[in-house]
Amino acid sequence: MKVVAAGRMDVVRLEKSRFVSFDGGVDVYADYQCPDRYRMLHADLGERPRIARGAGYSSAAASLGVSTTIIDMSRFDRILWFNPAERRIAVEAGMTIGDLFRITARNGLWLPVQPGYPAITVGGCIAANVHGKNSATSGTFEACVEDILLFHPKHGEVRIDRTNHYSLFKLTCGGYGLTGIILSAVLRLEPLPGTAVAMERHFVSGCVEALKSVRSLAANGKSTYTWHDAAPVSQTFGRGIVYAGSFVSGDSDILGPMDYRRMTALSRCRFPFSIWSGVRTRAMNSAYRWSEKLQPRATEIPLFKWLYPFAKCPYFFYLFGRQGFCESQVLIPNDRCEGFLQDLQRHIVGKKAPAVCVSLKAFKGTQALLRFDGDGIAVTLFLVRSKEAQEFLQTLDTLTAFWHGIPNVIKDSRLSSSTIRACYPEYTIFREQLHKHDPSRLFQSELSQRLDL
Amino acid sequence: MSYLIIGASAGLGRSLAYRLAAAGHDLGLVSSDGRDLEAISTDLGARYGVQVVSIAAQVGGEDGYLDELTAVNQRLGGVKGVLFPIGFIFDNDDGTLDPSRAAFVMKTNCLAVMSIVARLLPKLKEKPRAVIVGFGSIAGSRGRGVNVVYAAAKRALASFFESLRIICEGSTVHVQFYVVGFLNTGLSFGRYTPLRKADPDRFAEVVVRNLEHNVNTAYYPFYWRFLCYTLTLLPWNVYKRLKTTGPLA
Repeated sequence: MKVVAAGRMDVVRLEKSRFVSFDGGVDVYADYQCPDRYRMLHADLGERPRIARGAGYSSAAASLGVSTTIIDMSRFDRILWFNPAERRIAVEAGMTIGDLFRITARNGLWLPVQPGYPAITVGGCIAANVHGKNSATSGTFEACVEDILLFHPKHGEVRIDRTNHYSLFKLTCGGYGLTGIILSAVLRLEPLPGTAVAMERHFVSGCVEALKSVRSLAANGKSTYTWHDAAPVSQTFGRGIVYAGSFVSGDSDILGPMDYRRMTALSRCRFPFSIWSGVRTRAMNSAYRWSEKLQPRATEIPLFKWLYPFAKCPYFFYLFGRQGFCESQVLIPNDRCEGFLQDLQRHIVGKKAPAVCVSLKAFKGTQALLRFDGDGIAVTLFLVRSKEAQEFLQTLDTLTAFWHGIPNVIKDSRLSSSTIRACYPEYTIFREQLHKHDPSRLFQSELSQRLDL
Repeated sequence: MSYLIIGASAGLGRSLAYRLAAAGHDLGLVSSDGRDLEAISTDLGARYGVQVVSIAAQVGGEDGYLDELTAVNQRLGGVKGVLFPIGFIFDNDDGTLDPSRAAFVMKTNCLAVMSIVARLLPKLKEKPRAVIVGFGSIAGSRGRGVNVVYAAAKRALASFFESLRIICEGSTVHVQFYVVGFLNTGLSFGRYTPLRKADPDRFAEVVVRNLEHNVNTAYYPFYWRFLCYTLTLLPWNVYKRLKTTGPLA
C-alpha cells in the first residue's frame, strides 16, 4: 500500500476573526490561516491578497487588511540552529525577541537592537526594520540580520543576504512584509555588555533643553531617551526626564524575573474608555514625574526590565481604552530639531491637542527606501485617539515635511500616501522595486493599500 | 527518563514534546513532516538541553520505520513511555473514501498504534514503571455522518486500549486512554465546532502531570464524559437526526 497523504493539502482551511491594529485605529474581520507546518505555508491560496502576521504590535495595520488573508506565523517560533562560538543563531520568523533573549543570554549573548516589548517577533522586527534603545550606536535591526529565508508563491523559497539578492534583502528589511513571507533568519549576536543597566535621571524643564543632554549622553555611548509631559498647558509642556543608561555587571540576575502577562492588540482595548484625557493626563504626568523625583538619581535595573519596559508595566497602553491612541514618530535632522520642537509645542498648546507625552531619542544612520533611519532626533508623540488628535496630526504631517523630517510608517496608522511621497525621497524606488519583485502584488495589507504601494 | 511521541510535529504532539522536554526528559519523536520535526528537535535541544532523536516517517505507509523505532528506543536507553497523539482526517471522509485512502486513515489512526505497541511492549514490560498513552476521540462514541472512517478507527483504538489494559494488568506498564473533545489544533482549524475548542498546551500539561498517576480512561475536556454518555443513551430515532451536526473531532 502506498498512499501519498495529499488529502491534507486538498483544502486550505481558513477561519474568520477580528484583528485590530495595536493603536486601535484599524479594526477588521478577516480570513486567516494558522499554519503549523511548512507544507501549510506552501498551500495554494490562489491570487487572493495575503500578508504574514507576527505578534501584531505595530500601531499601523501592517499585518492585516479587510480583503487580505492573514497568515499567522506564531507557530513558527523555533530555533533552527545556534552557534554560540560564532555568535550566530538561526530562528524562525515567529520567534519572539523575549524568548530569543532568554536563550542567548544564558550564553552571554544578545541582540543589540531590540524594541520595547518582548512578545514582538523577529519577522516583525525585520519587516519594520525596527530600532532599539540605542539607535545612535547600534543602528536598526537590519544590522543584526545576516540572511533571510523568504517565501513567495511565484519565486519559491529564496535565501537572501548581502551577497545574494542584495536588492531584495534591502527591500525586505523594512519592506513591511510586502516582499513575501519571512520564514527564518540568521542573526548576528553580540556579547552581553553587562547584566544590568545603571540608569541616570536628569530632570529638564523642556524638550529643547533635553536635546542637548540627549546629544552629549548619546555621544558618550550611553543609551539615552527622554520622557516629557505633553499635556497642552504652556507652563508644564515639555517638563520631563532624560534617562541615560550604561551597562554594568551588577548583582541583577538577568535570567531571573522574565515572566510577564502578555498584552495583545485586542486585550489592550478592553478598558471601555480612556483614562488619559484633560485634567487626568496632567495629574498622571505630574504624579509620574514626582514618583521619578523620589527615586535615587541613579538606579540599577535588570537588563530584561530595561530592554522591555512595557512588559511589566503595560498600563500606559491599557489606559487609552477601547478608543485607542494615536502614535506618531518622526525623525528630524539634527540641525532642525530646535525649530521643530518649538513649533510642535506651539501647535499642541495652541490647538489644545489631546497629547499625552513626548519622547526623544538620538538616531544615526542612512535613510533609504521607506526605512525610518538617518541622522537626527526621533520625536515620538502619543495622543488620545479623537477627532482633535486626527486634525492635529495633519498639522504635524505638514510640520514634518517643512522641517525635512520623515514619519515612521509602522508607528502611525493614518499616514497618507501623499505625506509619505513628500517625505521619503525613495518612495517611488521602493514602489517600483516592489512591483518588479511581485507584479501581481500578492502581499498586501491595509498599510500597503493606504500608502498606494 | 525518556519518552517516545508518535505524531510530534504539530498540535497536541508538539505541545507534549515541549512539556516533556521542559521537565527534562529526553525524547524520541516521530512525524511525517521531516522539516518541522528537525526544527522542533533543534529547538527543544537549544531551549531545554535535552537529547532529542527524530524519525521522519509516514506511519500510515510502509512499516520500515518500526526498525528505526527500535533503534531509537535503544539509543535512548529504553523509553519509559510511548504517547500516541496522532490523528489524520481526509476532508471528504463521508463514507465514499476510496479503499487506499480509507486504509491510510485506518492505519494512521489505529493500526500503526497497534504495530508500535506490539513492537515496544516487551521492552516496556522490562521497565520498573512504564506508560502507554493513547488518544481517542469523541467522534468514536457513536456512528456519524462525517469523518466516518476516522470515527471507526478511533472506536477501534478505544477497544484496543481497553484490551491492552487487560493484557498489561499486573505488569509494570500502565495504560492510559484519553477521549478527546474539540482541540484547537490544525485538525479542527477552519471547521465548525458546536463547543469551544480546548487549548492543546493545557491538555498536554494534564497528560504530562498524569504520567506518574494511575489514569485509565479520561475525557478532555471533562464534560465530554457526560455528553458522550448522553449521546450513547439517545434513542436511534433522535440520534440519527444529529448525524450531520454531531461531534466532528
